[in-house]
Parts: sequence; C-alpha cells; structure tokens
Amino acid sequence: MCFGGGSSASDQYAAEQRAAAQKREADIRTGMAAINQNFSKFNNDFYNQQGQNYLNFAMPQLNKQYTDATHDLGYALARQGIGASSEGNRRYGNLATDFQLQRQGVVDKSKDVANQARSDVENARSGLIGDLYATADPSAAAAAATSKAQYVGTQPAPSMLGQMFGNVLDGLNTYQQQYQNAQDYGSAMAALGGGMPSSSGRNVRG
Amino acid sequence: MCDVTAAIGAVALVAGAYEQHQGVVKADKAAVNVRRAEDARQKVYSQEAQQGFQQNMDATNKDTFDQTQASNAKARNDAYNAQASAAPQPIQQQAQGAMGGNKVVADSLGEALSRANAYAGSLGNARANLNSFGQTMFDTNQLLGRGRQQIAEAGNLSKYSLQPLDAELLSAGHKGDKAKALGSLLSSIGSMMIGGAGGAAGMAASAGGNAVLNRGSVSGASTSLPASAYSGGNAGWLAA
Repeated sequence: MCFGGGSSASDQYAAEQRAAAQKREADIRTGMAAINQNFSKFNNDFYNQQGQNYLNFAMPQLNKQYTDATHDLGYALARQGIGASSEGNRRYGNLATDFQLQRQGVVDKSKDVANQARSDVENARSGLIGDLYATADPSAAAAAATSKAQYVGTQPAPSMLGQMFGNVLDGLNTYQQQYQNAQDYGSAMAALGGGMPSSSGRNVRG
Repeated sequence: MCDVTAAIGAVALVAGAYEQHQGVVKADKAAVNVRRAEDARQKVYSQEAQQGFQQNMDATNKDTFDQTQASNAKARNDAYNAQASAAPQPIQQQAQGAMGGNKVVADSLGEALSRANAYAGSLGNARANLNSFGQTMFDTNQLLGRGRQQIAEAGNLSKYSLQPLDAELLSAGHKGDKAKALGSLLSSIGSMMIGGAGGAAGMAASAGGNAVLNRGSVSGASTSLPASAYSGGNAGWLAA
C-alpha cells in the first residue's frame, strides 16, 4: 500500500522551483557585485579627468585667440593714433573682462563634459543591469534591448572653439579699411589735382 | 460477537477521524511553514528596498541639498579663479611698449584691468551660484538613480521569489496525505464493521431470536455508511 506517490512528485516540483529561484537570485547578486566592481573604476577622479581633458583641449585655443585679439586691438589703436589712451585702456579692460568670462564658460563646458561622461557611464551601467535581469526574464530583455539603443553615441566629439573675440575691433578701422580709405582719399585728391598726403605712418598693419 | 465487532468499528471510526484530523493539521502546519519562509525572504527584500528608499530620501533632504549646493558653488568658483590666475597676460606685455613710459596712461590701464578682473570675478561668483543648482540636481539625480536601482533589484528578486510559492503550497497541502488516507480507511472499516453488526442483529431479530442490541448506537452509526458498503460488505465482515 502506497500513500505518498503524488506528494513526492509535488515536493520535487516545489523544490525545483525554489532552487531555480534561489539560483536566479544568487546569479543576480553575483552579477550585481561584478558590475559594481567593474564600474567602481569610474570614480570622481575619472570624471574630473574628463573635464580636465576638455580644459586641455579648449583653453589653449582660447588663450591664442585672446593673444591674437590683444595684438589686433593694439594695432588698431595704433592705426587710430590712440595706442596710449583712455579709450585704448577701456577697450583693453573690456577685452580682459570678455576673456575672463570666456574662460569661465570653458570651465562650465568642462563640467558639462564631465557630467555627460558620468551620465553616459551610468546609462551603460543601467543597461548592463537590465541585461542581467533579462537573462532570467525574457520580457525585461526586450525592454533592455530597446533602451540600450539610447545609450549609443550620446556624447559628440568636442568641436573647436569658434570666434570668441569677434567684436574687439568694433568701431576701429582695420588695416584693410584704413588702406581703402587712403586709396579713396588719394584718388579724390588726384582728381582735384593735388597729391596724396604722407599719412602712411598711421597705417599700422595688424 | 456483534457487540465486539461494533465496538471495534467504533474505535476504528474514532481512530480514522483522529488520523484525518492529524493529516489536516500536518498539511496546515506545512503551509504555514512555507508562508513563514517566504515572509522571511520578503522581509529581506523589503529591507533592501527600504534602504534604497531611505538613501533617496536622504539625498533629497533640503539640508543635505543646501550643503551640496554650497559646496558645488564654491568648487565652481574656485575653478574659475584657478583659471583666471593661470591666464596669460598679453595686454600687460603689449601695453608696456605702447605706453612709452607714460605713467598716467599705464596706471589707468592697470586700473582698467583691475576693474575688469573684479567685474569678471563678481560675475563668476554669481555664475557659480547659478550653476550650482543644476550641478546639485545632477548629482542628486545620480544618487536617486542608484537608489532606484536598489529598489528595483529588491522588487525583481521579490517577484521571482513568489513564483515557487504556489507549488510549495500545493506540496504542503499533500503533507498529511498518509494520515488522511489512513484515517479514511479506518473510518470506512469502522463504518462497515458497525453496519455489519447491525445487519446481523436485524437478521437475528427477523428469525425470532432474542438478541439484545443497542439499537440507538448502531442505527446512528449505520446512517453514515454508504449504501454499497452497507449492502455489499456485510458478508465479509461477519465472516471475519
């Protein structure tokens, strides 16, 4: 006489189900530990370095543009004969202010780059966690596959700085304008029968 | 003889009822154990989710936010100042030649540059304060994301831990099967024995005998017998 045949089968099925759940949990906890271990290298130092990389890329460009703009302003002031003047000093002051504000902008951009790097890495980490869950959950796999597409190419390559000090010569004649003015003046004087005055000393090439 | 048979049947009936009860108790206890084990697991998941939630609550605490924002503002302003102090000075170098030793103009340029630096510095301070909110929100959102991941992990494990519960409860329901089957068998045997004794007494009475039977106890027990057992089992049990 046997009383326990059916009970044994259901016992075995329940044990298999529980063992599968426990294995899945162990796999996920192990996987999470591995993911955390891998991503622990993406720390503050790493992200600060990403920001510093942008500073190293952009700041020399800005410095060069500033030096060039300073020279251009100096030549333009000299052409006007106001190289040593309060107007010249005012313009130098504005240029220096603009330069400092542009430097602040570059610092802000470097922070954005670091933040973007942090965000991208975090998204990649989330994607991996989704994949980890998906290995035991087909419905999550589909969701992870869809969301992973959003992680690709979120950080564009940084572009060169544009013209940062374009308005430094506003109101001042450039070399070309000064040359054209002199040509026009000479033509007018020739038409009137006079000669061209000796004013080339104020044409300072910039 | 019939009294003994009926007495044994009554004992079997009681024993059967007891065994069936024991079977139910065993199954019930097993089901409770299954639920308690699952409760313990769910409690761990709940605690893990609670930790993530608490981490997020701490991250969004206003005092914490204020401290982080102030720290971010200072760090940003320090970065501006570090860049300002490291900046090249082409104006000063260029102006030295252009001034031609004109001290008044040179002093005026120095003042203009000082004002420029002070103005840019004050704007930088305001800019750092302005940007600090966005930076702090970004930092906070990163922390919230981590907390949400912890909550999601706990939720995921909790969900999958519940899946075997149905099978475990089904299995637990079978835990008293042996006792229940034994109890059922004993009950059937007891009923048949009592019913058999009643049937023999009836035959004796119809034959004019003086058998003295406790009609009340026999008839009460007999009513619970299935018709087939009552009718078909008499001969066998009486013979035994």
